[in-house]
Amino acid sequence: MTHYLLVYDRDAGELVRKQIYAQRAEAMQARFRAEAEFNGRGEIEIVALDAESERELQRTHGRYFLGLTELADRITAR
Amino acid sequence: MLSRSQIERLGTRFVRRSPPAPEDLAALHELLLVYGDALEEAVALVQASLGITPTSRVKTTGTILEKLHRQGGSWLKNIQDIAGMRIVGTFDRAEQDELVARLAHLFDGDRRPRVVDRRMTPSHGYRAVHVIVLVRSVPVEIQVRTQLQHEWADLFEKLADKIGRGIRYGEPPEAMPQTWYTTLPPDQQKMYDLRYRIRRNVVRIAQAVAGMIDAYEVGALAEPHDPELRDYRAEVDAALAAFTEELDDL
Repeated sequence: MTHYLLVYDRDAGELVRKQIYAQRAEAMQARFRAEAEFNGRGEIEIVALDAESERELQRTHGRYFLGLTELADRITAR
Repeated sequence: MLSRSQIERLGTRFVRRSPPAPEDLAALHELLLVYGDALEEAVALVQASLGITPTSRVKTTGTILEKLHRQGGSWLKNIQDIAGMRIVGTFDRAEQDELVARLAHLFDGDRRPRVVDRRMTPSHGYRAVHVIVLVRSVPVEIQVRTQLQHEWADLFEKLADKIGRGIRYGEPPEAMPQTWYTTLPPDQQKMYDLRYRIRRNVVRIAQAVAGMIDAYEVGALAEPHDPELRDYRAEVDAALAAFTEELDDL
C-alpha cells in the first residue's frame, strides 16, 4: 500500500502537489501541516489517500488527475 | 478518544467560530487519527479476506467543516463517512450485490453493518451502494461502485468543483452575488445570464445521464421502449434543445 498526500485546487481543477509516503501516519502528519500552510484557502482540498498503486488511485479518484472533458470521455468512450 | 458529547460540543464550536480555534483543530486531528487506525484495520481485513485492495481516505478537514456548516454542529457525532474506502469494480449489478453481501458478512458483529443502497434512493444522480461497518466502535464507510456509477460520480464531483459544490446536494449552481451583478453593464449581465442558464442545463443533462446509466445497468436498454428510459432520453433531448436556443440567442 502506498500513502499519498494530494493538494488539489478546485477552482483551477488541478493537482498542485503530490507526495508519497512509506507510512500512513507520515502522510497524515503531512496533511495536517499542509492544512496549516493553505489555511483560509477554501478552494484548496488537502487529502491523504492510501492506494495499491498510483494507477489505482487515478482510477478511483480520477477527479484529482483528469479534466472535465477527460472524465466525460471515460463514460462516452464505452 | 473523545466521548460523543465532547465530539458534539467540538462540532458546535466549529460552526460558531470561523476560523476554527487551533485547539479545536488539534482535537479534530486527534479524532481523525483514531478513525484512520480503524480504517487501516478495515482495509487490511478486506484485503486479507476478499483479495481486494480498496483505495481509502480519512475525510478532508475542509469537507468536514463544510458539512458542519451545512448540517449543524451536532452532525459531527453522527457522521458515518469520516473513514471511508472505495471499491470500483468491473462488475454488474448482481455482482455488486454479491460483494455488498460478502462485505456485510465479513464485518458482521455485535452491531450489523448498515447497507445504504443509493441505487434505490439516488442522491441527486449519485448511485452506489455504501456499507457502513463498525471497527472498534468506529464507523467505516465502504463505497461499492460499478465502473459506470463511479465514472459518473467522479465527473459530477469535478463539475461541482467548477460550478458550485452545492449541486451535489440538489442546489442550483453558484451565482454571482446580486450586489456585483447589479454593477455589470447590461451586455455583461446578458452574457452572465446565458452562462448561468447553460450551467443549469449541464447539471440537468448530467442527472439525466445518471438515470440513463442506471437504466442501462438494470437492463432497460434491452427494452428501448421502456418508459423510464424514454423519460431520461426526453430529458436529455429537452436540455440539449434548451442549449441550442440559448446559443441562438447569443
